[in-house]
Amino acid sequence: MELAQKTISITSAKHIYSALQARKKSLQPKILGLYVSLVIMCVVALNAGAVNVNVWQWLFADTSHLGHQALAQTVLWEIRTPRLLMTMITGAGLALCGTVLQAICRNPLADPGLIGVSSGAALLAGVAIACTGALHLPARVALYLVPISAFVGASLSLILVLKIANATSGMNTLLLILAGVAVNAGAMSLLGVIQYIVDDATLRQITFWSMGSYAGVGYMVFFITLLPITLGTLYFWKIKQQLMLMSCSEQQAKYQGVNTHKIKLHSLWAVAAIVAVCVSFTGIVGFVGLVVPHVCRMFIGAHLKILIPCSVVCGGLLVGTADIVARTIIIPAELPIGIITSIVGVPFFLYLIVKEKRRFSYV
Amino acid sequence: MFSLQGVSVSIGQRELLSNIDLYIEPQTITAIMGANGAGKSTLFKCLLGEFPVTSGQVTFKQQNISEYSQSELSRYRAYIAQAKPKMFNMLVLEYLLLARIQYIESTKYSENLVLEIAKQFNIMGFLMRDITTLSGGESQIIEFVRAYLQLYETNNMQGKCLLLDEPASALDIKQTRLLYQHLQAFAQQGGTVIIIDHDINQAASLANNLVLIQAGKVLANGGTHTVFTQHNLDACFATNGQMIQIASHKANFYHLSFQGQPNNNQAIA
Repeated sequence: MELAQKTISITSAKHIYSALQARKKSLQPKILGLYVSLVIMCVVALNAGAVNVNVWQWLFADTSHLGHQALAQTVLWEIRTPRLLMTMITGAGLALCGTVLQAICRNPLADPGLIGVSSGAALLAGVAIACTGALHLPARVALYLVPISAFVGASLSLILVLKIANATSGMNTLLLILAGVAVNAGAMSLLGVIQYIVDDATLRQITFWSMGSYAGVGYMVFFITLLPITLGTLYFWKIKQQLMLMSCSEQQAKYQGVNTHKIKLHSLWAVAAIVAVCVSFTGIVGFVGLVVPHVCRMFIGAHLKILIPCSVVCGGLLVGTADIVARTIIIPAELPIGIITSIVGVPFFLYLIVKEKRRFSYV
Repeated sequence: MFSLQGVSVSIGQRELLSNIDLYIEPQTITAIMGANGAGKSTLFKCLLGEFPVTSGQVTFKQQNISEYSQSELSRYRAYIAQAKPKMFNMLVLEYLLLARIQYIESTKYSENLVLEIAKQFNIMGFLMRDITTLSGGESQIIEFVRAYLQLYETNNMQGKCLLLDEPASALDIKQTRLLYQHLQAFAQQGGTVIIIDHDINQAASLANNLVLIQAGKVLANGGTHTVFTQHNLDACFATNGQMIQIASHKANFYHLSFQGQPNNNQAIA
């Protein structure tokens, strides 16, 4: 028939299967490369920093005579390991949220910051920091107060955005994005007011918090963060086909039997929970949710079956790498990680955009 | 297949459909025609169960449509919209596999089914293509196959319904013919087709039954031969055209001449 003539001569099931196999094979080195990079990053992350801990030696040599190096061991197990785990899990979570939001919103520009969750968290965290400063609360209280307020802020802004976007005929994606932008702007200007009122020391604290930092992260924090991200990943993995249909057309997905309202609501709650825990403990680590799904999509395609795991790994890799840079570039001081993710991410992203200009013709 | 009893739909003060009684016979092709804003799309949304009607009821297979769940409905009726570009890339094969999402079956079975149906519709060459690279005509044929797969349980399409909203708006005549031939074959397998098409001559040559809608009411309804007349079409579109008969093709064409000055008073009624 006329339509078939234009395309390559794939005419039998056998050809299709072998083409699929070839496709799978072409993806394998890319995925392998990703995992190898992750392992290298982990080793480097444990190795690098202000205190000299030679992981290479520990990995490949007899460790018994090193038992007395108490400082190095403490640094490795009590500081660097939880910190590395935390960077990876939050990177993974943010990248996963970006992937899912881009699919749900059918918008390649969607990212977790867009629906206003991180700025809501930033606002209440700012309030908490300001209160601690003004009321001279002990540092121990601040340690708990800031993440808890950030979480409350994230939840409140999500509820607000969802209430606005919830029309009678289901949730409207455009309204969702508009409401998110509005909440973002509102929260940021209120945060500006707070920053204007408070004294210089508190201002510095708020600024550092909102640029993100992994300093002083412990195992407890890691496990608290791990829980929603694991559950979220499992949930998104379960509904990947529904999400794929929704990424083509929400209306069509509904007519094909997907309960779009439920999926959207649950996904948004999951995204908000993940973003809230990430942001609460480590501040805003920008750009990961936007750039990682794009990078992965360019390398391996948009099928969520591969994209979800790849985004998760790639997100962990990016934030892990950024954290290494953040704490080694001006030893012993630390740069805010949000700045590094942008500095690492932006040129790479621009390079990919220029390289694959054609693919962006759909925007 | 579908039956509408006294269906009215109002949004705010505006009445989009008023008191529509309609029965859509199974195993036929029904075309819905009407001027822009007459209520065709609203009627379609009622048939799809998209929003609750203000009064009256829509019955699908002897049961009120609001009593079905979306996943139940998706096995009995499929919808094809106008050709729209897709946002994210995936293989046509992967896209078609998603059409089986409501059926509990092994991946192997779905794959074999997709391959078998693809072969039947002669689209094997497309399966490894990226959906974002398809032309309008190609993607509508893929959409048809997707809808077919969505409804497929056996080769017998009895009790299954396809709803198409201007499927051929982006297609040239050759590709339109291919799509319409597929629709005819679907009806011959026992399926029901309901279609909105702005090319009324094209739709009339395809459909067994016509429904003419004007200002939210059914103006005429019945077999194509009885409904597709100059009198009805003039009334439906507020025009004065001519019926041209081509005896050798057993076909009637409604022709509207563009000659003469535009009459601004009735330009947009």
